[in-house]
Amino acid sequence: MVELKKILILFEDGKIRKESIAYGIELGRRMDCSLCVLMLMEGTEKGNSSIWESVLNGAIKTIDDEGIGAECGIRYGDKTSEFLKFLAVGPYPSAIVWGSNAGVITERGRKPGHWFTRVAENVGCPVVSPTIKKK
Amino acid sequence: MDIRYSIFINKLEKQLSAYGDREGIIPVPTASIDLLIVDDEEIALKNLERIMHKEGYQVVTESSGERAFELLKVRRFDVVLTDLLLGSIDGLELMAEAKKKDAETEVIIITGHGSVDGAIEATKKGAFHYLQKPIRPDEVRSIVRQAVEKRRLARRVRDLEQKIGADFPDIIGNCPKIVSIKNLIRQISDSDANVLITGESGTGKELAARAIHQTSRRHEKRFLAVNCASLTEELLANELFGHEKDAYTGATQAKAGLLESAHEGTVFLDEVGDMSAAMQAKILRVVQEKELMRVGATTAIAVDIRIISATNKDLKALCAAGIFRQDLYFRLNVISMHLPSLSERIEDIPLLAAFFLKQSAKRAEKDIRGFSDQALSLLTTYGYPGNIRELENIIERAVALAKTELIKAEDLPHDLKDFHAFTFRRRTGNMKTLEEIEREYIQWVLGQVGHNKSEASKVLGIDRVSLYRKLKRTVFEE
Ligand SMILES: Nc1ncnc2c1ncn2[C@@H]1O[C@H](COP(=O)(O)OP(=O)(O)OP(=O)(O)O)[C@@H](O)[C@H]1O
Ligand SMILES: [Mg+2]
Repeated sequence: MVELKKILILFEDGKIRKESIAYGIELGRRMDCSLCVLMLMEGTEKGNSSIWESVLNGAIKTIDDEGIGAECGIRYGDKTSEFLKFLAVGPYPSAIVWGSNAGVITERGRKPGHWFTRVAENVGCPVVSPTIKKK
Repeated sequence: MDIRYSIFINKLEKQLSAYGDREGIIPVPTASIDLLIVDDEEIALKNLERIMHKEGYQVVTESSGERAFELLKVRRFDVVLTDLLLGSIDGLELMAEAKKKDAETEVIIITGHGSVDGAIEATKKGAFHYLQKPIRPDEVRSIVRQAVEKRRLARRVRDLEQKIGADFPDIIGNCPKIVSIKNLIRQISDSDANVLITGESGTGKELAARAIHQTSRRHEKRFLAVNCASLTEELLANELFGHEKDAYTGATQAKAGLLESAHEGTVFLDEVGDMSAAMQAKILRVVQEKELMRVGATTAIAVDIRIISATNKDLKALCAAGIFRQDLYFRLNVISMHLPSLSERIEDIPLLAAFFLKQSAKRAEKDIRGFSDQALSLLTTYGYPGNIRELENIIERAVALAKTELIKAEDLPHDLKDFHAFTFRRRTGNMKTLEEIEREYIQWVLGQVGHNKSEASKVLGIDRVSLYRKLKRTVFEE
């Protein structure tokens, strides 16, 4: 069954950190949520979409293999407004996992100037950025 | 004397009196104070005994460390005054034993002249204070008094906390935010006012809603939970309002909706921010007129329901954006309750973890007693975007995996060990008072009716005199 409540795993520019998928799967289980994977790309679709789609499909397959429901999508354009548009329709995510550049959200705070950290402040759910601990 | 303690107690007492302490005034414990003095120098021992006896304490003396150790195994003391060096057992071991029996026992360590190092180590390990020989009577009196006071306050805090928490066995937590939520639930138990509960996913909104229902005078009637995001517009309308015969093809019989069946009970509207505009209008009618129309009906049916709604969205922002009706928002948000995220109450994590452990272990029929230090430290440092539900699931799975009587780090999800999960949250605003909400509502209604006061009082359902009084109060307060 696809759970009603969702965790959004958010990527930009085709960059996917593996640990964010692994963590998203874990978190989905622990929060009784299904996953929603969204890739935000600057600019227009041009002819590149098939590359990014295959990248995303890989991620979706990993999630499917774990037996968790997932949806995915790619949006092109201004990232901030595409992201806000995405939030405006459909149920609000219970949490957001940031899965691209790890430097955007760290223990020291948020990287100023990055579009996502400006929005993250006004998002009504927790935003998590998992990174691998250095041993 | 620890000033934080007394502030904390004041707060607790205020909270207690706010909901009307049912058993009357909280008694200040006047029970006698039990004091154990341990010293292998007989003269010093006799001296201390005399001084302490005069202070009115019940004094037990012991000149052998071993015997004191045995005694501490079976008997608890309020304060222990012990020499550091006692032969085969030292004062630190006695302290550990005393605290094992009762963590709130205060221990004062006596050291020989000049041996400050041992004394400092003792206080680091939890001794209340240390005294150096030769002991001055006024000094020992004063320090023992302070220790007794600290112990008395600690005990009183615990009693108050137990008293406050006692009514809600399902809601685990002693942190101030949860205590005030329990108090609020108690305070509104006589009220029929609608409640809006906000908080992140998994913070216990539904649990709180049920507790509100259970303590209300409606508790014998139904508590009905409806997820507003789960159904399509038509299905939700049909579920909630029911339909008349022939309302649409296939409606061969009239059917009462859920709201009707919850008459005189409580309806929990979960994810209320996801309600469509049409549904908002229908619900507003129920709240305002206390009546509803079945789908396809021509006459209204009177219903008496209390609505508790929950959302993790910012409804105020939705109102500002025109997505949520402000009039409905005011009607639903008569009392607001905000549940803290688990990361705002990390002091409750061990308690919650222990609670879920007990529950899961019982269900799994496993004998698991606790957590290894490493496991507990992983549990208390994680950020919990999924809040209490997440903790509950983590523990449930750990119990399934555990092979010993302790939950170990390896029984916990690998990401707790392998990943940093930096969790970022929006700052939450303060809860509004009833007056503030009412004031905003009145101002809004006034604006809607072009500041025509008699029109406004009609809309608000109060007479003009009351409106004037309320307006005056607003003006005075501003
Ligand atoms: N203080 C608490 N003590 C014990 N258990 C709790 C507490 N708060 C929540 N829980 C448990 O955590 C789980 C989640 O609680 P609940 O369903 O009430 O959260 P919620 O805020 O409604 O979440 P959501 O927004 O995802 O619906 C439940 O199993 C509940 O029993
Ligand atoms: Mg809920």
